[in-house]
Amino acid sequence: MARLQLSSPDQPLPIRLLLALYEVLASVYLAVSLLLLLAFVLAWATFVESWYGTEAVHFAIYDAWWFSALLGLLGINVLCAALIRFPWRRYQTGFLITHAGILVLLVGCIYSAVAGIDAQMPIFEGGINHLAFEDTRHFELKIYPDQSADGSYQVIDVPFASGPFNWADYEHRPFFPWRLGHRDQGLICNQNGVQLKVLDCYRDWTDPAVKPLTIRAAVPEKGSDELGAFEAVELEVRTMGVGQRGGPRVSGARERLSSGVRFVFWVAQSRAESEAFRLTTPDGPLGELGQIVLYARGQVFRFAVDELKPGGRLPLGETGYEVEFVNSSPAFLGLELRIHPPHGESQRMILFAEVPEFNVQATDHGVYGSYWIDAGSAAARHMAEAAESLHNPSEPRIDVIQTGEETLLYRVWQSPQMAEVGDLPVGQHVKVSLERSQRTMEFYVETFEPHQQPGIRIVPQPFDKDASPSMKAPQALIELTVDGNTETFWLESQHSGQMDSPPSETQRRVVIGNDRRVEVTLVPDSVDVGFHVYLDKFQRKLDPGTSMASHYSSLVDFVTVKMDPETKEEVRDETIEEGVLITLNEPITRTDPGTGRSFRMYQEAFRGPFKPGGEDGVYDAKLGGRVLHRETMPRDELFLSWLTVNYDPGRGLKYFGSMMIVAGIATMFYMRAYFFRRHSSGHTRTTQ
Amino acid sequence: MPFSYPASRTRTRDKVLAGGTLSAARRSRIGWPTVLLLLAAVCMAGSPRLAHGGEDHPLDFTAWQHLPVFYNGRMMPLNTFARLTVESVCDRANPRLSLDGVSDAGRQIPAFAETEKMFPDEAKAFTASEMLFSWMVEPERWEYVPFLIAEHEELRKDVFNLPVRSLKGKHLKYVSPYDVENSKGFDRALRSLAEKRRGLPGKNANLTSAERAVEQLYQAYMTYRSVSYDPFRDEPRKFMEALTAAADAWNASAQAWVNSREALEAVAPDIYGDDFDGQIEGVRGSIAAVGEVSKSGSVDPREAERLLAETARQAGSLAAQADQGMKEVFAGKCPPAVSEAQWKHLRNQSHIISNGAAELVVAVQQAQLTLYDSQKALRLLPGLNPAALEKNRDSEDDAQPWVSLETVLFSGDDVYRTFIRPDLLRVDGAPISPAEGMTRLEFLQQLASEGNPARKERVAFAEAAAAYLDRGAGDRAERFYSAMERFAAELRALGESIEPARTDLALRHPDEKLIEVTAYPPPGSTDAEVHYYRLDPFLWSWVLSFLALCCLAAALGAIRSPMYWTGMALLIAGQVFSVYGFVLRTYITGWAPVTNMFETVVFVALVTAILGLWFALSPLFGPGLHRAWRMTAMPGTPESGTLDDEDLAMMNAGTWTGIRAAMMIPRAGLVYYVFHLLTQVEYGVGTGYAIIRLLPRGASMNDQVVWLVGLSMLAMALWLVPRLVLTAALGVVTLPWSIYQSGLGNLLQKAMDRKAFAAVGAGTAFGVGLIAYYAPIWDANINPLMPVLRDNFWLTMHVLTITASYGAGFLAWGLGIAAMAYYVLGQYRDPLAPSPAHVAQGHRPAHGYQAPPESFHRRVPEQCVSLSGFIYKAIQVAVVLLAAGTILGGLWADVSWGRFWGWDSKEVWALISLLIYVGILHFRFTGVLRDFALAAGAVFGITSIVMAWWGVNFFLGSGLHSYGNGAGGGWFVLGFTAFNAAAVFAGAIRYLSETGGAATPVPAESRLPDGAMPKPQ
Repeated sequence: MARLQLSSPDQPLPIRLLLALYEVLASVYLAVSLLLLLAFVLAWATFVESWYGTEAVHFAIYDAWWFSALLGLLGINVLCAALIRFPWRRYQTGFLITHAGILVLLVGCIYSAVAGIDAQMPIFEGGINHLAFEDTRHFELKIYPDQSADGSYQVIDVPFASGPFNWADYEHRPFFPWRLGHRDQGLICNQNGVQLKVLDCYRDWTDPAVKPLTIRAAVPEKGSDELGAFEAVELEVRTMGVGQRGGPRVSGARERLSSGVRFVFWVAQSRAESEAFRLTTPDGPLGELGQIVLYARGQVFRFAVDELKPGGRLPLGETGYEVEFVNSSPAFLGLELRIHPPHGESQRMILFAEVPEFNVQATDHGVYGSYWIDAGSAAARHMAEAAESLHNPSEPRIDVIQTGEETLLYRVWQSPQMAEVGDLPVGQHVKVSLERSQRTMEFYVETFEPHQQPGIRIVPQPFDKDASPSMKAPQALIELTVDGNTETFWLESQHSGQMDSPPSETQRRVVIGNDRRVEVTLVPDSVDVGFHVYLDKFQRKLDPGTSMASHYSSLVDFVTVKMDPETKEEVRDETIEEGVLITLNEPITRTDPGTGRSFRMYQEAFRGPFKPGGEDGVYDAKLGGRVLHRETMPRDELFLSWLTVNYDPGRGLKYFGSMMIVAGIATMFYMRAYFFRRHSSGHTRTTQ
Repeated sequence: MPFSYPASRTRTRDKVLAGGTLSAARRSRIGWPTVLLLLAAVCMAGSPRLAHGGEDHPLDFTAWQHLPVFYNGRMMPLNTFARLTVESVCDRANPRLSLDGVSDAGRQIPAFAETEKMFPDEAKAFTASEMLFSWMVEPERWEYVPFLIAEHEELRKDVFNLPVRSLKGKHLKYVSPYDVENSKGFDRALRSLAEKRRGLPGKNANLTSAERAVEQLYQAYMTYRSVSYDPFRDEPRKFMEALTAAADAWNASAQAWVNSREALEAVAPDIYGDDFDGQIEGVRGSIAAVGEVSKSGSVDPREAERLLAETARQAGSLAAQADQGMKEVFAGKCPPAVSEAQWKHLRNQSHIISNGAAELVVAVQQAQLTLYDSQKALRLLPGLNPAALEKNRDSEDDAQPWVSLETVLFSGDDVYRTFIRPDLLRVDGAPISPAEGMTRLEFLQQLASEGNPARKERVAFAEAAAAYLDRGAGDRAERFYSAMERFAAELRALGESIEPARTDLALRHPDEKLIEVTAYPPPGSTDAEVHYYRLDPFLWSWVLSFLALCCLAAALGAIRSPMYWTGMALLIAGQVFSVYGFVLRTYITGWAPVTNMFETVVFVALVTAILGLWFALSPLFGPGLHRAWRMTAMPGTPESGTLDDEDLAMMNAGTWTGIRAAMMIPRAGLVYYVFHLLTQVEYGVGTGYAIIRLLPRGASMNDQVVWLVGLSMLAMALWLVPRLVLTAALGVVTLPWSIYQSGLGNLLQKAMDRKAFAAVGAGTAFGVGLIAYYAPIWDANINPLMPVLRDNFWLTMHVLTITASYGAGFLAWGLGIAAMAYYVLGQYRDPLAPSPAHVAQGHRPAHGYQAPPESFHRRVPEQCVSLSGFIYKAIQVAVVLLAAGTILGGLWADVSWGRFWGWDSKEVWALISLLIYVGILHFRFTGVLRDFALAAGAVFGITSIVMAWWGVNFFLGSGLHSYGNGAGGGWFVLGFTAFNAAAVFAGAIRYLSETGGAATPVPAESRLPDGAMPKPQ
């Protein structure tokens, strides 16, 4: 076929240029170059996948703008090649159908990529779900106004694409323009005084078990002024309450010198807590049951416990907050309070006089407290006898905290008064005069490894493509500013498998602003499919003689839900459709009545069987003692089924395009017009 | 021994080996010299099989080989099991062993004389099934025989401190179990290997070749020990595991009982009382007692059997009561004093107890069974093992539906009665244990004579063993034959009698399908597989392709039609063998044979040959088929309007219309049949969907379009498939007719002109088939297919199409290589100046009438021109199949996982191949380099197919198509690519230098006559 020439010298220059461009875009030279370039890029991509894993190659190539541009250019080339041959001749029918099919296929792919959904829905047997989770994540900012009468709040979702690697790793990875991939860095949200900055992100991290803080301290012998040898105190943070998700999770460390001086260490969760650490010192006589000192909105409030009555509420100055005294536990020298905001939900606070590292603070409201009791009081003496670790409460206790800026603060508690409060730089010697024994002890911080989260050190792990990315919970270092109040902290992402339980302490943070507080979590993107799925039974067939599951399927009901008044959980209400089987390779289609999107649901994977009394405890937690709908006896095993929920709006186009390609090629063969007419060169033709 | 090396040649070969140049060849299963020898043998004797060693009375192992065995999730003949096992132990299925490498310690034992009798001619070639039998009946002798694979030089020298060659200079490949057990070096090597593995969990540690050899030897040793498991001497690993499981199950119950005894007693006092406590205590005691027996790492099976029977009884009664209790608690109401949460907790506790007790029953049964069972036992009888037949069985444990040979032979009557034959008559007498120093045969004979006489298969086996070991006896063969026949018959009788008992087993959720597929198979069911391995059709296939290549190459050199036709016949015969092999494999496994690497490679060889044949023979049958096609055109359509002279010469227009109308009747029937197949018949195991749905899945636009596409495809299929079938049927008549019409000689000449197709097809089929057969990187055995892939219509279509496209690609490559050979060696021709006569006839030369001399270039060899036409055709076929296969893959992915395209490595490489071949076609269109570029593209393009096919699974190792993953072959592929590059480079140099400059044209009349062969310059 001769080269198609549209432009000619007699046309005006702009037209000529345009036509020349058209010719280039339609040229077979461009087609061949693009095909080979694309083949090269794709080949390269498979190597990148082999080295760095599937997520990385999607990030850097398949999902990158320049790759889309390349495909787009190919599409334009195909389009122009077809258009430039207008008016078409009969023998070109197959060629046209095929090239149009390629275009339709490309358009379908683009449409799917833009509007499609590919998500996973986990359901336990006997459980109900309507949310499907995607591989991507977003920050969820919940803004609770102090003055909200009905407890309503505003939610801002901030998409967060973190990329496949720890952020430090992007600089030194060879063979790749990783920086061309899209990551959400820096300021990603700025709305009405709420600013969210992402400073760093670890996709893979570990919590190395090291002792974060080594303090060396020396105390003179009794009756002497000479300091003894410096004795090392290694403070290793222990965490309590990890097992119960959503429950209080506190962590701290304590060690005692041979002389009886105690060191206590914990990690402050916010700037306000560090501030409160300095300010919530006792004042005046402590009374028999001691004094609580609360910090709220920069102010300090002191209450004598002797005067508090259970159930009584006291205002915290002009802040609008109230503190309710719930009860005290003299056996542990602890007491429980509730902090009531002007509106909205109250929060529990538990304070211990002797083990302040395990205090539970009202972090959501920015209220922090300390509980002080005179070691000479009856209650304190009783406690000291009972607990070996609190031995000799008359010796000073030195509290050390790590602030939000990863520096250290200390305070010296010499019952019944606070002796000193101050900064504690590494290496600087601090002298503490022990009033009771008339001596001066000395200590300094020898080594300090900051904790990024209460009880956790987050250390980046080198990239490992075989590490399963879906099981890793990324950590993001974020800076959240609310009304000028800035907090910087690491936040752990929630995993889609845990979304039915509330976030843990490391997965949510609250920053207090003026008249409002903002809670931030990092959660998987989810899709509400618009209908509720109840998993009646998960069925698994095993292959004879091997332990491979040969077929698995989920038998589901589509139901409506209602709230169980007792457990506050969603339970099935009315049945819409019963006994629908979703099995491997046999998806079902169901339409969201709200949006009209037609979802397909596939059986993807499963976990289990969980058995009664199993070590994982899943069965006992989810189903223990319960009998499922329509059954009389309990299940002997419980499965968690993962369904793929897929919405592919471009599917029709893709099928149609594929059909056109096939039909076009068939036409070419049928019409014997092949791809192109046989192109013979002059010096071969003459021989035939 | 017809094919052993003469001594002198062996020595030369070993010198080469010692030089280290053939290290790669050594690793492959059979060295290249052997391959060539084998080929020669095929030509001469017609049988590639190695005969048995110099025994006077060859034994007939047929009955033994045909025994059905359940292994790795499927039924197979014992022969296959033996091949798999022996291959993993000795690295080849029919090893040739000698006593050359026996250590001094081995030679000094008194029984060594007996061992020497096993090798009457110094060396003996064992068949896998004989070897397995021998392991079973004379394990004590094998202790000192080197047969565990240890070929690696470093392994032998540094780890074992053993010689690499025997005194006679023979290469030593094996070590004995005695060597493995007593080598401190091997122990150390294993330890350091384990350390290395621990350091890199979940990753393929970069093992050195020596470390891999250590690992292989360890596997070989463990497999041998497992297969020749001696319940009375070996460490009962599996039994210990079962015992631990039993203890765990008991613990779960007991702990829950301790925690909530009082509360449960208050709720259901009639069940949860002191009696229940006593039962829990009782079970604890029993398990502890079994534990005592097995503390020292070995166990007395007879004593354990007795204790376990008691434990099983107690556990059964506990489980019944706990189940009753759980049911009562769940049926009851929450007592007023108890909170709802506490009540739930209590119900769960009762459930934990009953569940633990039920698991305990299963675990104790498994413990009983595993006393005589090991991981890779030879299981040749269905057993009454409830744990293995439950639908809800634990996927973690290894409960097997069949019982082992050891159980059949050695178990006490209690276990035998429990798991094999409940109606076995009781006889007096204590269970028999082997006495100290007793051989396996002696013990077997004692069991046969003093044990329960109703266990007749044991008696028969003992007799077969005795006959086998009675080496040199005159009636050995007859005795062995009759005893083995009896053993097989007794097993069959037993297997068939077990079936009703298996269906009657008290199971909670019986797995009907499993019970059905694991039933003792009907007689003859294993014949096909034994036949397959004995015939080895894929060996014949490449051998015949090779011979065809030789003949066709000879026919190329000088036109000798007998050579040509012999070649064609051989090539067809070879493909018949391939097809027969596929038919056998499909029959044996029950699924399409394109699901592992070996099968796809063989399939590609077949496709290449068939395409080559098709193109080569198309002048012969093309017109006939074309006529048949036209006969099936629907009357009244535009297609039926045009009848050319040849058509009318055949018959008149009226007859044409009549035939066409008549064809509509069978066609309608076929249309209905295809419609039925595509839209009515369920495919897959699932929920009854047909391949194409007549109704849309949903109401959305998207679903409607998909539905329309489905209907269009249905319409196309309904139009095309019946017509193709009819065309093929009509071909029977039209083919001879059109051959008669055109004259056979004429057509034959045309077919002969296309012999390059056939030759290249044969060559490529031979090469690919040879690689399939000998490459050590894939497994040619018949293995079970990943369950997810079975019964999948789209998968089968997709894989068949894609691999067929690989075949077309390889054909194009072969033609390209042939073209390159001509470009390098062929005779380039001078340019032609057009003669005035030509011009007068309307011919327009490219260079014009008055072209200056510098615009004339030399012309490429004549063969290159026709070859490039062939390459073009092959690439077209490759592109069509690649496009269709890739789209079918998308369809399959969409139907299965909800994504049409996911940038998976395999998908991407399929796309790259498509892009490259489409690119080549478009590049040709640009006119740059023309025919040479087409040939070069065909040669280079194959690289993308090799990557898509081998590279993704063996080199990249990523993505979803991981069921084909493997390793190895990298150097070979690199060499292949380098060869391609070298061929194109050489071709390019000659091509450019010949055609680059200007040349003086010669008059058109002086051209070479058609068909003259070029001479190498």
